[in-house]
Amino acid sequence: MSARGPAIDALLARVREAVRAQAVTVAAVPAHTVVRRIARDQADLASLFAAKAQSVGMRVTRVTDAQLDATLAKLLESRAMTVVAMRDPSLAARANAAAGARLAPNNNDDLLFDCEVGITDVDCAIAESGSLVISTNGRIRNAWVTPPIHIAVVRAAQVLADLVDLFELRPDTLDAASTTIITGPSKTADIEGVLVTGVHGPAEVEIVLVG
Amino acid sequence: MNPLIAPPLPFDMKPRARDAVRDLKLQQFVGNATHLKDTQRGGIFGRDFGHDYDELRTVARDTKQYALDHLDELLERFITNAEKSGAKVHAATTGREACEIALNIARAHGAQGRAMSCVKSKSMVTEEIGLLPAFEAAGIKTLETDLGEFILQIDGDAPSHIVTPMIHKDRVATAKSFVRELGARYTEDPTELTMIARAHMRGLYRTADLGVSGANFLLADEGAAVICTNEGNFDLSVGGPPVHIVFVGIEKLIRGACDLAPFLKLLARSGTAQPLTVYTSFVRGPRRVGEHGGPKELHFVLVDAGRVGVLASEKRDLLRCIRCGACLNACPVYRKVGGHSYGSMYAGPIGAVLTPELERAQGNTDAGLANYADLPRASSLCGACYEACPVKIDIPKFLMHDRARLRERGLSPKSEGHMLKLWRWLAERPAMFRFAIRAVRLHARMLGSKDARSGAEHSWIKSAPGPGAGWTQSRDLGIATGESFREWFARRDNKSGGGR
Repeated sequence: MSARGPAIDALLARVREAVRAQAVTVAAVPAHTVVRRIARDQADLASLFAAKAQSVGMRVTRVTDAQLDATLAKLLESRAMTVVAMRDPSLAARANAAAGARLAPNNNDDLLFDCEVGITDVDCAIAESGSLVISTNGRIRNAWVTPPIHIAVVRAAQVLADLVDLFELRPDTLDAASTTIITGPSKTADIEGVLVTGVHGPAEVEIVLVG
Repeated sequence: MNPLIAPPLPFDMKPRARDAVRDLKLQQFVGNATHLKDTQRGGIFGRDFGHDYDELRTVARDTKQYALDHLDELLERFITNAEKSGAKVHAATTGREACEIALNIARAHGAQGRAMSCVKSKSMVTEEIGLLPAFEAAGIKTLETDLGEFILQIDGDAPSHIVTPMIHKDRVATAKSFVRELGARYTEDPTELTMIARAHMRGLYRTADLGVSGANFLLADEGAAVICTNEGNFDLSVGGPPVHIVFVGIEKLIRGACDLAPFLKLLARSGTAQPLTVYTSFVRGPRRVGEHGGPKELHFVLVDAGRVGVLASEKRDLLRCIRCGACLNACPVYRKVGGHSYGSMYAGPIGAVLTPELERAQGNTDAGLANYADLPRASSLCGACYEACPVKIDIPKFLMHDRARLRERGLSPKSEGHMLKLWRWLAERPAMFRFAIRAVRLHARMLGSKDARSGAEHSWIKSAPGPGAGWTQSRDLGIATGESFREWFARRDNKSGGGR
């Protein structure tokens, strides 16, 4: 046995005994083809992603790579401090340029609370649910949650069909200390079921879909 | 602990149910909200999965059952992988032990001469083990960051629903609490109220010494936890403080990310009719070298608190529950009596079977059910909970099982036995049965009427006399109107058979 603490060894022993107290009813985990249903017959994943992201309350602007700089500049115009949290160095350079003088340093997570915009790239995106997948690998943590506005730059080639594909095709995404799948702006309906956005995370999520 | 969810035992449900049924506001809030959520749940599954919905539930059921059937292996693998990523793993047999572990972690980081502060993300297991009272006694100031839980906290109230904890409260109560506790100006606007809470909590995230959360799933292969929120409060709670503790029941384990997709797809749709929760966050170890943000120390406290006992019992299936709250929304009894009537943090149909079972597994064999003898009867056995359950827990079967056990131990009311004997005597005599039904309906017509067009019932008396009085203490007496089942069946048979 392990050199773990006695409490853990005791728990493992009790669980081992408990598991054997009842017959095993499921010998193997079932294959899950039905799980993929939504994006099953979709060829144009970028368009499906855009439609689904909008249906959960995020805004989507679709641009060519040549239009990206102008689009970012326009989105950041008249904003206060912006933090850039991008793993892709060339994208980061373009976002830095768009933020100009209002660029916040990206090495102090406490300063995130003073930023108006967090701008990130993504590890990938998911078409069937309109989700963004962002990990802490190469990005200051929570730049996508703390400021009231989140701008995400997504390349069309990064869009996966289904949540299942994230786990099957891109398991490396989960190697990071933290990974978050984002499906909409921060929401609550705790007070009488009335939907309010921006309770803790951003009220606005702006997606720039490139390509 | 709050007596609303940890009442003195044995627990008597009836007075609470009676008060709830008479509370018109509660009837309106809980009735409307649950009905809406239940309808929306049906809608989104129909749109997104159509006739495959049932198979998706079967996949989820078998995947979770597999995990429970192999929980010993998965636990070992989880612990190994979590430690590999730098997390510290602890095991607690009881709730008290779990709190002790957390207090020891906190003490090791305590600043001299200053009270420690903690930001906490919504978690059922921390309610169960009484973490907040334990922290409070140790001088650790804890902030519930989920908006609903925060409002309940400043009011000394308790959650009454697994997913929408303040389903029993309204905006007026919230407005008054914010004036009283936060010194806010009076407003009943939900957006303004939410922004007041946001502003209040922002500063506390920045300065907290400790973050605490539960987890929706544990992944054995990755040694990671998955936490689902809509508000983003978990990400802020884990991102700022130097230490984070995840409290998690051992039944949350699954094999790994390879098995996660069906659960994530089912959880948010079942709970709030969303394709996924807004934030689905994976936590795998503390912050890495050179990273900015995230806890320097990450702890997992694996909580037993009766779960190992349930695992060993014939009620193992109950541990499949993913806490989506769909069975509460679907249940005609929960809709009327609300969550606090169940005397537990786990309300509704799943709570009615899980609460006595966890209690039993932690104590002696009889105490669980004897302490909650009303819970198995708080059901019409209509089966709506089973239909709504994304992991196909056969809750009615377990409720029946508990009723039989109550009867074996002489814990059922005597009148129940008499009624069943009378019923059996009648059911074996068709002519007498027909006569009895006619007699009941004739009497019922004298007591009230039902408007044929609106369906509104006008009853002269709401309470039944004599042996029926107990029944009507927490319900209105129903009125038998229209034709009997036998008459309807005969008519239907004639109609459909007319062409033959």
